[in-house]
This record gives sequence, structure tokens and C-alpha cells, in this order.
Amino acid sequence: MTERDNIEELAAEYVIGTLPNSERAGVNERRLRDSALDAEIMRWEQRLAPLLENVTPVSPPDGLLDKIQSQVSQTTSVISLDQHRKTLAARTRPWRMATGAMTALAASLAGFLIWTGPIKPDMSPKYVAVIQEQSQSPAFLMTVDMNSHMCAIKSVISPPKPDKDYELWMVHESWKQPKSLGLIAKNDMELMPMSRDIEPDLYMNATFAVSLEPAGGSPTGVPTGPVMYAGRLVQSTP
Amino acid sequence: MPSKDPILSALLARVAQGDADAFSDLYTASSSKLFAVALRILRNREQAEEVVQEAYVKIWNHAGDFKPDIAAPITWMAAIVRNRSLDEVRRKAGKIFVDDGALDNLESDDESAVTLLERQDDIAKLNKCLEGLETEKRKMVCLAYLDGMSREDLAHKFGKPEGTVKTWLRRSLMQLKGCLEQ
Repeated sequence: MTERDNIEELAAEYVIGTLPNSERAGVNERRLRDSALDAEIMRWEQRLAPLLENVTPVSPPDGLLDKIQSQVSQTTSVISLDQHRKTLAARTRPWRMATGAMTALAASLAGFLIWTGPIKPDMSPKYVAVIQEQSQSPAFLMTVDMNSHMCAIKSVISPPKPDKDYELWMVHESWKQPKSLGLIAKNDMELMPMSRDIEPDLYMNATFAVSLEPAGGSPTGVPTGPVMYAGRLVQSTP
Repeated sequence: MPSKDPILSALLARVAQGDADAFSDLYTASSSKLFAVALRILRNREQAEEVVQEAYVKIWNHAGDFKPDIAAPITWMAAIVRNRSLDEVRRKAGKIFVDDGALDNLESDDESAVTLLERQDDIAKLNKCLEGLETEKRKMVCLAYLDGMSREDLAHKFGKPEGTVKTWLRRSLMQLKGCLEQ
């Protein structure tokens, strides 16, 4: 059996859904970096999709759209910032098109990116998350350098009271509980190491959240105080 | 071949630009289909609701990745829902498929697959190719794809060893592919 047959059969079984859990999880991981497998999966999806005509539509519960929209609004400004960046890149007029609320975001982000100069001499891809309350102004700016596995976080709000600390968490759907990335420095920007075991794609699908904790951080390993801000990463350099 | 649906394609293009109205229209146009797809596999309304919610958040975040020349819009969206639903049912390892009376009318039987007929070329073509499979194999393909049955579920239902189910499915899929490419 050739390699291509293997990929084809694997993709077929993945799409029809009968791969056992461990093999299925393996394909989910592998397709992220194996474009031949990914393309084969899409071909099978396209081949078998007409079968979906057999599925009689069922109305989802009322209120589901509201839930989705409120979840989405939390990331809206980050997403549109990313879109904005793409538009700007296409026009090669960086940061000039900002309007309205985007101006403040873009300006603070631009300032932040200038600061990152020292940690990106190689121009490796950088990712940035604007961590904020729903549709409010940004509270924290976080950049992640995938090459050095460092993250820098900058607070743009006033520091918490002396007996409190802000703690940064990473939340991913495949994890049972949030993972602490550490405390956020009160007055200065801080570089924090990120776990090397975590795949870049995991970062891109994660939500970063900030909770208010007792000084020294959560005593339990999970957020104990209110989760005040949340955001997701977008790529901010080519 | 793909992108049969210019309305959904146009909506997805606007969603990729962050257009919230287009997102709402896209939801209205597609959610009952996607909810039904999840419900067929998960057989649980709450889980189906969660998966559909996650899927639309993903659609919002990744609409820019949709490539109209590779997939039809509903295929792309349904794949997101199916993949999450299947991840969910496969994770519950060892769970034997239970016939749920309340959802019986949703289960694929051969009749519904055949009564479709030539509404669209690709549907007609796939149905024709499905008819080229033996009855049991055709049922297996439909029950796996539409109802999320595992090898174990199918082995149980058809009274065959799991290895046989695996071989039959692989052969059937390759036969379908050959037929579709004719």
C-alpha cells in the first residue's frame, strides 16, 4: 500500500467518523501540520456532503444566537483589529486608517510593538492578544514570541490594591481547567516564559483571561477571584 | 464543483470582514441544518446546542479561511459541526449506541437516502453510487456518516465483527470514490 493510499483511507475513515478516539485525536493533531492529509480530508468532506441532504433541519433553541453573539463580542475588537492589520498591510500604509475606537487600540498596540523590538531581532512571527472587558477599552496587551517561547504582558490600567494581584490564565476547550501563566507585574512590563510543550495552534485557539487574586496568586491553582478580562491572540507581524 | 450557494458564500465573505449583520443572517440561513446535523450524531439537545454554539464562534473567527473554490459553504460549516460532534461521541469510549425512541424518526434509513433523487447533480450522483453498494454496506456508510455510529455500534447492529465493519467501510468508501470519479 502506498503512502497516498494510506492518507486517503485515513482521511476517508476520519470523515465518515468511525476512527476510534485515539486515532481520531491523532488525525486532529496531524492535519494541522500535514497539508496533504488536510486536503484529503476536505476532498472526502466534499464527496460525502450530499448525504447531509438527508438530514431534516431542526430549529435550534431560542436564544442560541444571543449566546453566540455575546461570546463573539468578547473577541470582536481583536478580530477586527486583525482584519484592520490585514487591510493596512495590503495598502502598505501601516496604522493610518484607524478610525473611531480602533484608533486607541491601534495606537496602544503600535506603541507596544515598538517596545518589542529588543525581543524580536529575527522578526519571527509575533502574536498579540488585547485582553479586555466586553467592548471596553483594553486592559492588558500581551505579545507572544513563538520562537523564543516568551510572552510579554503590559497592563494599561491602574495596578490592583497591594493585597491583590492580577493573574494570567490560558483557557482551552480541550483542558479541564485553566492553566496559570503567572502573575502580572504591577508596575512594569514583564517577560514570562511559555510552556514549550504547548503547540502554537493551541495558543491560537485559546482564550487568555485575567482574574483578580489575593497577593501571590490563586492559592488553589484555578481562578478564585473574578475573571475580569479576556482576549484571544492574533498574529501581529508577518 | 463547490460553492453552489452564492448567498451563503457572500455572507461568509462579509462575516470574514467582521460584519455582525451578515453573521446573524448566516445563522438564520444555516443554524437549523447545523443543529440537526449535531443532534443526529449526539442525540442530546444540550450537547448539540453547545457544539453548534462553539461552531458558530469558530465560523466567526475563521470565516476568512473559507475557500469557495474548495468547498461549498454549507459543507465547510457542517464539517466544523460534524468534527466537533464526532470528537464528542468518540471520546465516550465504549459507549454502545442506544436507540432513543424520541429520535427514531431522525435515523437514516435507506428510504430517505433513495427518495432524494435528482434534486442536485452531486446528490443524484452520490445516491447513484450508493445504490451500487450492497444494502448492508450502504446502510453502514449512512449510519456512520449521518448518525455518528462507531465501528463498535455498527458491529453490534449488524452482528459482524468490528474488523469486518472496518474492512467493509474502507472498501465501500473507495468504491464510492471510484464511482464518483467516473
